[in-house]
Amino acid sequence: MSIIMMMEIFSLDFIHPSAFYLIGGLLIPVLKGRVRQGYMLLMALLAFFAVLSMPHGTYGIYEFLSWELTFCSVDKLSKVFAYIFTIMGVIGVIYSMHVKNDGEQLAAFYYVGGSLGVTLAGDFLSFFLFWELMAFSSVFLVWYRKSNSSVNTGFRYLLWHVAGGLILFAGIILQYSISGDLTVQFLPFHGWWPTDLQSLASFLILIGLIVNAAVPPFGAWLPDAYPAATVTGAVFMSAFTTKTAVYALIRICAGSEILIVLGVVMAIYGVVYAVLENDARRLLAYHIISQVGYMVAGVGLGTQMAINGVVAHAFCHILYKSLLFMGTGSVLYVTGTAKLTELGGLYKTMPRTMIYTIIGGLSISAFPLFSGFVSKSITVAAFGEAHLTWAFLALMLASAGTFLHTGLKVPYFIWFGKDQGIKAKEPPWNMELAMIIGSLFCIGLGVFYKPLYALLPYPVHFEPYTAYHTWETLQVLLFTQLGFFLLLKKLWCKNTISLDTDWFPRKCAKAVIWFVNKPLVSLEYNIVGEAYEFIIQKPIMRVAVYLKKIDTVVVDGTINGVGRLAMAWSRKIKEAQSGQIQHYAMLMVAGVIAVIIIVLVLP
Amino acid sequence: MDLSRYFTLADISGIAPEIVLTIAALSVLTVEMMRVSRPGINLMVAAAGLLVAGVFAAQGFKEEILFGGMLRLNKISLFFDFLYLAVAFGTLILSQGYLEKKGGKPRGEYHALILFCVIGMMLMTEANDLVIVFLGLELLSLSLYILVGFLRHDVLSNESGLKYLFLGAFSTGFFLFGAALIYGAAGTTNYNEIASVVASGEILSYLYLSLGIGLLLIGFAFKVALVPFHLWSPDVYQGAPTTVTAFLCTAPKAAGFGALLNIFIVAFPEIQIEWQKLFWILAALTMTIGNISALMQSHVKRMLAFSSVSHAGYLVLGVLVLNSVGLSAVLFYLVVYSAMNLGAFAILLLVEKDGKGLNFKDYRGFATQHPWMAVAMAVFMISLAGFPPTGGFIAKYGLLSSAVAEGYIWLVVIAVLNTLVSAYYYLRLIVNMYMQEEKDIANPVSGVLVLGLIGFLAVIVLILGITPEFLLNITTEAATTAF
Amino acid sequence: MEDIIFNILDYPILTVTTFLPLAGALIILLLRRAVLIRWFALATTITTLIVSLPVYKHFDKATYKMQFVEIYPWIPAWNIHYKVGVDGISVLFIFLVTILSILCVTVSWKVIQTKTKEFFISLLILETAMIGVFVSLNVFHFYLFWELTLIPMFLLIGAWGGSNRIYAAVKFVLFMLAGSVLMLVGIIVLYYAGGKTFDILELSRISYPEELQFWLFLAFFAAFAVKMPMFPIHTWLPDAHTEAPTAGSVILAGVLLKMGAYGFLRFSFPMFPHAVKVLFIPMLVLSVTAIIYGGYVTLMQTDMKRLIAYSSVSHMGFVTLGLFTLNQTGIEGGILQMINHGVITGALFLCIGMIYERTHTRMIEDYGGLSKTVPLFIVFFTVFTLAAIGLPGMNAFVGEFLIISGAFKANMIIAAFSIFGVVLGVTYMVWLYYRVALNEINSNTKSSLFDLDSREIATLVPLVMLVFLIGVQPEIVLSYMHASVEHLVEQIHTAVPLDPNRIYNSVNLFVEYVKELLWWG
Repeated sequence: MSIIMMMEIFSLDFIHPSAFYLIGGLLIPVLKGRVRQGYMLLMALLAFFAVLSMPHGTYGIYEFLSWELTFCSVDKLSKVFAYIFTIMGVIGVIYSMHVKNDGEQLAAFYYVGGSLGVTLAGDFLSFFLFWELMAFSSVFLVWYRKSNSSVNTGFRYLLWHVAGGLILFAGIILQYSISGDLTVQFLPFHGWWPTDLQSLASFLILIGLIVNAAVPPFGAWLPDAYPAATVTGAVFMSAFTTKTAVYALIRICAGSEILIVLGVVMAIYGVVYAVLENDARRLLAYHIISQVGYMVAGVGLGTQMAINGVVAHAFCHILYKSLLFMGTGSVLYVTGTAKLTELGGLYKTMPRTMIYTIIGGLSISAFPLFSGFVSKSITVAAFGEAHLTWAFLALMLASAGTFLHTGLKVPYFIWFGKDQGIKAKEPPWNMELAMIIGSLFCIGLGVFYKPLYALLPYPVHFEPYTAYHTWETLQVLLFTQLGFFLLLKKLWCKNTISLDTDWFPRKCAKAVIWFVNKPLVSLEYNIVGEAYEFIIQKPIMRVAVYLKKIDTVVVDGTINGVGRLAMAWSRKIKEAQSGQIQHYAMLMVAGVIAVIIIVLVLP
Repeated sequence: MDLSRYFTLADISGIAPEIVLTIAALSVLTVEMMRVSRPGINLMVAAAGLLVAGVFAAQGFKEEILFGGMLRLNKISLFFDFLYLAVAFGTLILSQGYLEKKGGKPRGEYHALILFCVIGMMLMTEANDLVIVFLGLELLSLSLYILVGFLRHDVLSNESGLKYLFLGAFSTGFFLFGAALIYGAAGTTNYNEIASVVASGEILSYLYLSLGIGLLLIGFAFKVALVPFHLWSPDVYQGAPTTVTAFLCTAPKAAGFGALLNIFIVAFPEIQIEWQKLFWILAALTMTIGNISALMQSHVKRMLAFSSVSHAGYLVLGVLVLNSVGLSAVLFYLVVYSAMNLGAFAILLLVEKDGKGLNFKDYRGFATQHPWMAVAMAVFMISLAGFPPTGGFIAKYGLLSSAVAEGYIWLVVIAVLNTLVSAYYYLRLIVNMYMQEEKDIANPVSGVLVLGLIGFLAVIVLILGITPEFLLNITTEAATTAF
Repeated sequence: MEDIIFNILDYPILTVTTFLPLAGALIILLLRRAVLIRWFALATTITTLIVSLPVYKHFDKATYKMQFVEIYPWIPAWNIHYKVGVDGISVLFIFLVTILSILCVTVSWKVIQTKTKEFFISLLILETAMIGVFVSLNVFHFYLFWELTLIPMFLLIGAWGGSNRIYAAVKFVLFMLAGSVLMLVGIIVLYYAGGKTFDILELSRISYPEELQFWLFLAFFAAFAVKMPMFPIHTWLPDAHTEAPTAGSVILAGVLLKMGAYGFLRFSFPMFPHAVKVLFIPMLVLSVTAIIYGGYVTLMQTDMKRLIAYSSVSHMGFVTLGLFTLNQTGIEGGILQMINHGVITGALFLCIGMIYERTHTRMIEDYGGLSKTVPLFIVFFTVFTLAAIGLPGMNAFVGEFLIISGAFKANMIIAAFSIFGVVLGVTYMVWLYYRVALNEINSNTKSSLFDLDSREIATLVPLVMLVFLIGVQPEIVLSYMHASVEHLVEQIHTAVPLDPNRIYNSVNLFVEYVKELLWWG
């Protein structure tokens, strides 16, 4: 492709990290076997070092039309995201090394490259360029699952992102036509609805971004697409799309109050449906929503502490979430299913994978000494500090739920639970290696959190391991654990064994379960899950069918009708041409009379 | 006795072409009578006559009034003379071998009659007196009646001959009546005198005058087949021998318009203004009806018949704007029109064989079997439809432009919409030739002369479309001298 | 003549470029063997391109003036001169024509087995006509060339087209003619209104009475709108595109549609600025209608060629949208988008044509999983699909960006709607893509499929290069048009100051004009 472009961009004193993914990726189809695996790893590592060696400032300025595109503007914020993305890139590449399908590898590479590009983009045009690149490359990660459902899902996924992308695009252009400036800048949106053009612009941009951040009801694509993706694809997707959106939100929309509400709703929503979910990967997908909810809320708060929290949380989240996806992914890879009801008792056959997964689960539910603990709590604390009590409590509750399903439910049903007698073994070495790295990061960050804090955009005055904070967290977790084992059977959603302990838990359990199963479930699966149907498919397809009819019948019909009319006249006149001389004579006489009359009335 | 009381030598030299043609015609008949059994000798003689007549016309041309105001030679009449001669010459070439093919013997009358037609038409356009016009008109018509019915053993030919005779007589009656009325009103039949009488205002009765003009008009309307006096044309065109049809739809039409223009330019210059509404209606009606009826024809000759009706409609535009621009446009149009139609009919009569080969579907696959002839046919059709870069477009443009200059926007819009309609049936032939699956069609007889003529006409049509300058200058000059 | 620059080269470059193909056609007329004819046609088209190259080299981008102008007297009797020249607006189209013609020859190499001679003659005559349209500076021979495109195209569709070809061909010609005859009337009126001259530049200098402008605009609009085609007179297009042979579709989509838009730029804007000001809101609405309507109808198509054809309706809607924003950005975007659409849609038709050669079906359901059976083909198909969607980094994105940002300047609401059009665009293209390329392999056509050969690759590669070149360095193209468009815009705006209340009650104005006309007529 853009040899010219790359020359333009990279003939400078530094190298854009995504170059390794975008250009380096092109060689993948050529190479084979070990060489290829080595090459891919090399590229990923090189990208990481490129970030490492990246001084702050802006470079890669490139004349395009009358604007200059800044492909690389580095500050603390973009750098920390670039770090985590490249790290995740390495892990992901290792995890997916064994995949033979060139297309899938290439898609993954362009996906990562895209999100790096977004992170470093200094102006809206290149920002949008990479933004779209992400959407179009990631959809292949879904399509390469090669099941019919995945094709359709992929198509829906793509449409969501294109729609979002175009709203963003509209916002960008509007912004441009107002300010004549394309640099990515801070455009917070205040209030609940746009009041003037400027706020309309930032509103459109905000919407465009939160579609990718999977904020409900725009989040329907996420639990829809991730479970349908390929094993390795899901790992990549879990890491990049939403976090890129979070990054963009921080950079552009920090402090937009509306985000607090959305974020909190998101956090709860994600948790609730994760609790109900049966497919492990779909569960984790919901859980992403919940976690991103924390971040969105934090962004909405927009205080220095909150932003720090968001960044840190994003950093850790990418790691443990991908770790979980890798774990469940390898289960899927080995057993061919990720349905909790079909799994169980795998601890015998895949003990190591179990350990990694549990590490992931613990860190996600912010267990002390695990990475989640040091990151999530900053955001929550920030809310406490800002005296937004309702938000504070809601988020605490959500984190309880988090522990409930990922910390306990997933491990329980996959590893312990009833043995389904599935023949399984540990996954291939590269998968496992990737998971090991991930787990090390999770624990490492949980224990040695200083370096992470050092990376954060603002100075951090936060000490996670205070007695109060630790105890509070443990408290929540323990109670949750208790509840879990009480409601154990009920949480097994697809399975209804009545449970006979004493009446109180039973009653309340029944109530809870009923509430949970009937209204909520129906809400999710009939409305939110179908949002695509309502927002995109139905209106378009219905109208399309209708309009096509109109086009063929009415528009074309009228025009052909004119032709037919002429023909009909022609036939009539043909009949008048009878060939009988007397008829002709009569007609001519009529003509003569007509002429005479005209002549007489003329003057 | 002294004839100089009746005419001078100048008069004689003025009508030298007519005399030459008469002699030629008579000698053709004599040759026939002497049973000279060389095929084509009649043709030779007739052609020679045409050429000599042409030479005389060119040599002895002077702008003059002859026979005490009976005849009037000017650039326009000269122009028309050459048009007639050329068309007649072309017709003779086409006729070579055609009559045999139709099963009749080649007989001298045929060639003689064509020459008589030419004489009649020349008189019509040179006339400066209603009587002379009538004379010419009758000479033309009578010869045509015979020519149309020339194939004695062909029922269709006889039928059409008879139809033409009856309806023609009908219209001639009107013409004569009109002339009489005008004479009654103005007391003279001479154009200039009529004009002066009208100008001086000492008309006996305007009613008679306008009635007379109206009936006169009807006579011409019949000749040039304006709606609703066009009804004879499709049947006659279809039934007549194709050569005659070719002749019939070109030269006499030109003669009709020539005479009409003459009368209105010289005799009724300012009265014409009052007649514009009538012409307007005639034009619109003729174009539209002609085109619409052509749409559904399956018989190519009939289609061309109706198309010639619609072309007459376009030509009325020129009569409507009675100025030098319009006149030159008409002249140009007539030339192109004659070329296109002659060419089309020439191909037609090559293809037709004992009654077949005259329907659209007989032309399927024509392009693959006779590519060159197909190209020529396509050129003629495109030109008839008025597409650039053919003479048809330039000619049509000239007419429309002159009409717009006079502010007849709506009529022009009607005209262009008619062009749109006409495109359909002209292209239909191309569709059949190029786009339909093969069918074994009657192999054309390949008369070298005819093929040469076709090629020549096609080239003419194209050249007139690309560089019309030469002809335009002539027509403009001729037209300007008329006013 | 202060605003023309005469041809500085040592040979009449534009005339040669225009008539070289015609000469080639005349020579082909005499050739016999099909192989010879093909090679000769190829040689002719390539030579034409080469001959035209100096134009781009010596083109002075700094000025809006007409360049390489040649004037010869032609029909003095009617004050008609042969006058050709190019400015920044037209010069690019010459390139488009010449390059596409070459590809049309190569793509027709194997397919055209019957009437080879006639085919290539028509193709070459068509090329002459198209170049002629873009270089003409005289209305008369502009119209001549304009009409000259009809008959060869008619033959291409009708003689070498699909099953329903005759209907399509006749429909095509009748539509075109319906438009152009009205334009002819307009031209004649213009001739007298402009002081009996056909010179486009002189006619552009005169300012005509407002009402006259209005009607003239409509008269020309008839022709341009049909050519574009704008909603609701677009129905000839799907039929023509679908039935035409590949080369025909490429020429149609690539160039003929652009002639309409070019007409707006060359005639309507400079000559009838007042009418444009009065009507530009309706025009914008019409454009957006075309965009969205076209997008919707495209979505439901089951025939690949038909689908692309309908998508052209939507895309040309973008072009008109850009033009009628009446500001620099929008118009430049419009022009650029014309080029892009020519490249992309041309390429897509080429792709479909190639696959059709193998399977002889255009139905989407007969395909599937081509990415496995013919990977090489899919590489190209993917590139062009993404380009058509307007993926950043490819040419269409730049065009759409300029157009939409221009539209935002002109009218918020319209612009918002046009964004929705883009969504539709993505929808139908991606849907087509995965039905054709990604679904499971379709057994009906699997057997007959084989991958592209070198000739076909050679046909597609230039277009791929254009896609990315324009996508990454649009300035290369835009630099040609800046000066001219600038001049055009100020021509529009200096002629008539924008008077909002006059614009927004354009309907009343329309009614009033119609009334006047009817009484007058």
